[in-house]
Amino acid sequence: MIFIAIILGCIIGIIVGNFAPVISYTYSAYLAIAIIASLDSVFGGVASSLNKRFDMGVFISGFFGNAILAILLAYLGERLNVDIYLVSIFVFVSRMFNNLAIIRRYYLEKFRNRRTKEVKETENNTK
Amino acid sequence: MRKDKITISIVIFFVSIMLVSSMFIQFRTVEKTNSMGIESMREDELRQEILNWKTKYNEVDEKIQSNKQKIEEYTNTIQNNEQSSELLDEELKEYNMLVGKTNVVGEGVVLNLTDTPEQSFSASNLIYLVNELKYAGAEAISINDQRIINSTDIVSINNNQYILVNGERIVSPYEVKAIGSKEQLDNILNFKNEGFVPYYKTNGYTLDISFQSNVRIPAYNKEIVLKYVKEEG
Repeated sequence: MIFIAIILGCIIGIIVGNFAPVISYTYSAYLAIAIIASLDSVFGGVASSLNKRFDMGVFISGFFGNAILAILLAYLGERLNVDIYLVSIFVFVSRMFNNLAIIRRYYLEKFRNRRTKEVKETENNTK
Repeated sequence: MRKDKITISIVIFFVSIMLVSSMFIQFRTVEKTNSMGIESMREDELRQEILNWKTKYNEVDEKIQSNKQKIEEYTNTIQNNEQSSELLDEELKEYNMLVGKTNVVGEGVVLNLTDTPEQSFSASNLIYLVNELKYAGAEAISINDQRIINSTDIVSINNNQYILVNGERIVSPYEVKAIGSKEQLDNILNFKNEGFVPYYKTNGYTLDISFQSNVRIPAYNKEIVLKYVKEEG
């Protein structure tokens, strides 16, 4: 059910994105940071759901909150002539890698468990 | 539990729509700006570009300065040329006046010589008169609007039937104009007994003389050509 929702959302998103007007170049930097923040939230959500600690409120607030905060910080950085957006990208991407590592470990564990189970079962069968 | 899953699905559906659509908008923006040149350049590239343009600007500026200097020099020489050409022009005018190629005006004398059945003027009479006028300091002379210049001929042909001045036939009455000092002309022409006017009057010729302050004498209207004369050296 959730997978269907994700795939359907992606397809509709592609269509909408292809027909939406192009935004001006000055604002595209902010949109890029918002996208990075949202992606971070998504990976965080996936990782937490794998650990059975997924919370809808946390996910949604992180998704929008991080994006808006990242945009505001980038704007502030431009105002102060400090490249804050670089730091936010660094933080988000490093967290993304962390979450990806969690996901990777989870599936690796699962795969190994299954292998050992199968080995045990075959051993039992041969006995 | 079931209801929870449905709400989660719906929320994730909308979230994925937003994320993916914004991503695609961003993709298209980047794609478009990549092909637009300067707007998509990085800062250091822009700096480099600005530097290039600055050097180019400086070069062009230098060129403009040198060109300006050249133009100034040229205008100076042009002015000099104009001055010299003005001088030449004035000289030319003076010479034209001297030679008789311009219409001139000034104080002088007008003589009207009329042929009568008893006495008629001959070419030699006119030559004599012109000579007298020249002696009296006349600066420009004409007979029947034929300007008397250096090369003017006054001849009679067919036994004094015609008089030619500058190769043109003239007939009585002869109007002789001369520009010069009135007093001097008066002195010479009206010299008692020997002057042109009293002498011819006593010999029965018909002529009258009038001094005017605005005598107009036309220009010599033919080419002055020198075929054989060349400057020595």
